[in-house]
Amino acid sequence: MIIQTQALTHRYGKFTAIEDVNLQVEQGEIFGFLGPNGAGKTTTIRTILDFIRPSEGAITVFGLDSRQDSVAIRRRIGYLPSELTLWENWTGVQYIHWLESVRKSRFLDEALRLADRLDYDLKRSLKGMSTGMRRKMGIIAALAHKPDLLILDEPTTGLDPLMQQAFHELMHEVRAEGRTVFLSSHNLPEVEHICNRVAIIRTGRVEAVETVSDLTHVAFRWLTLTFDQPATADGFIGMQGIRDIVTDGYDLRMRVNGSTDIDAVIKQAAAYTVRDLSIEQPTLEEIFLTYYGKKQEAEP
Amino acid sequence: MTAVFRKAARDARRMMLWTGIIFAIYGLFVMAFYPSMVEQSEQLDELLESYPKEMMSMFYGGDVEDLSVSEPGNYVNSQFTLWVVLVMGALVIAQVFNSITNAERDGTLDVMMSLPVSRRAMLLGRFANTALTILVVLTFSLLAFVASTFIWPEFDVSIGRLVFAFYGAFFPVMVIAGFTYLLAAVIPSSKRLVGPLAYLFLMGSYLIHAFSLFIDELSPIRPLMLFDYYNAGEVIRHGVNIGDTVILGAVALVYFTLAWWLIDHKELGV
Repeated sequence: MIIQTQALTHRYGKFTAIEDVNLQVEQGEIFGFLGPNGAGKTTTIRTILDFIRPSEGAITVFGLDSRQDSVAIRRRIGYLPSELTLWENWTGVQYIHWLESVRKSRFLDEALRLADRLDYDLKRSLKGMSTGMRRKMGIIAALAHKPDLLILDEPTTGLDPLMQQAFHELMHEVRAEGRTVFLSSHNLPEVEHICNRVAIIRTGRVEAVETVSDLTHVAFRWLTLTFDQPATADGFIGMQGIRDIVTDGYDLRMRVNGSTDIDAVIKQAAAYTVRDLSIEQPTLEEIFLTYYGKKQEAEP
Repeated sequence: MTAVFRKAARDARRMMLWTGIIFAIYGLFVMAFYPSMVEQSEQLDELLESYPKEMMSMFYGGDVEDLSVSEPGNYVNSQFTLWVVLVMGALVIAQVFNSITNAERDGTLDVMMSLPVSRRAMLLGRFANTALTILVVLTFSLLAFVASTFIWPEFDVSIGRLVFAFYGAFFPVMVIAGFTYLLAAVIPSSKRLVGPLAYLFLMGSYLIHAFSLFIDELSPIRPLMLFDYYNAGEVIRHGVNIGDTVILGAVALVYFTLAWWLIDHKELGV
């Protein structure tokens, strides 16, 4: 077990930020930590890293106590905070050199390789960087020393789609090397794309820990079809995995469950002339409500 | 700890250099008036006799009976070192505030804390940088006054005593730094109280000490005041008071040790 939290609770005064959080992250997996803003993702991460101390509960990382052995743990961790502040009077190379002196190892070559992958110039000053560029520098700094565990808080915020793709490839490589990633996000498609397992946190509580395939079955999409004539729900009602069908003029909107055979829906739509088609991802709240509804249905 | 110190020193190097240069220039500027002060010392001393004792003790920081403005110790203390302690104190408060409290707020502490550096090692590195900053600025100042002994022969003091007088200022400023580190280790950054309380400590100590020299009711608390233990004029006249220096060093050490211990228990605002 790489990370284990037991009944982890953290309070800021009277406000409970996280409560009774139990997580187990195995070696070699990419573990997603999914939740809306303010759900407690960052607080959990900061508690794991011993930036803040739990009000209750215990944490072990690599089997070591997160507080007593925090320095030994952090030696093996690469961390990317959600809001990265860098020392602006340095260049990327100077920053990496300084990290080398702190970590007492050499990894500039690896940093240069990562910079190349992320299309980033390590020689440029860290001053006045855009969010995306700062993010790239943060990713390079977190990965360059090849840590056993990566803790990444909203890592792709501000990255363009191409760079997101490059980042996903890097994560797959990290996993292939048997290293572990703990990644927080509020972006379901990203989590679906790269994670093995996902914990869903909401208002400070972990509501579910699922494999991505299970979550995909719980998840759904909103499909909107625009016809060249007033839309009708006939033919779609009663289809397996189709719910909440609404017609609005020429538009037909329906909720398609993750496990639904989309081919049948497309064939049914082909009975009409389709002018447009759009697919929207559900919000995290919708996923949570779906998941929670299913859980309640399953319980007596 | 070494890496934290190197980073802090690198970040502060321009500030150290320029503050040192400015202090040195100010020192030379002050000393340029010294020959004329010596020349007119009789008239000046007569003039000073007419000033209220209270006011004189504010600016000379010590016993003002038989005060001679042109006496080298009095001159250095009243025109330079007294203000150096106040200004350096304000500078180190700002430095500590930036390195701990501001770093908590702006997120740079977040980055630092993610590295294999303990909180205590981080504090130690920053404290070492504060000590270096003070020493660098004092060295520049000292060099200006050593140069003055050659430029203006009227300024006839022992260089050894000048060295002790100037480096003696290291201890009161370290007490201020230690106290500010202690506040930063105890007070949550969100409270925004570290800076104001540290400045209050600095100015309060100076003012209470000055007032206690002529308000009898305040005299019992004078030994609690920082400025009761350092007077560069006294060092230039009579040499180092080892007891006072040890007291200041011990107080700075106690403050810092408490800060070092408590930082590990602090709920950081990262």
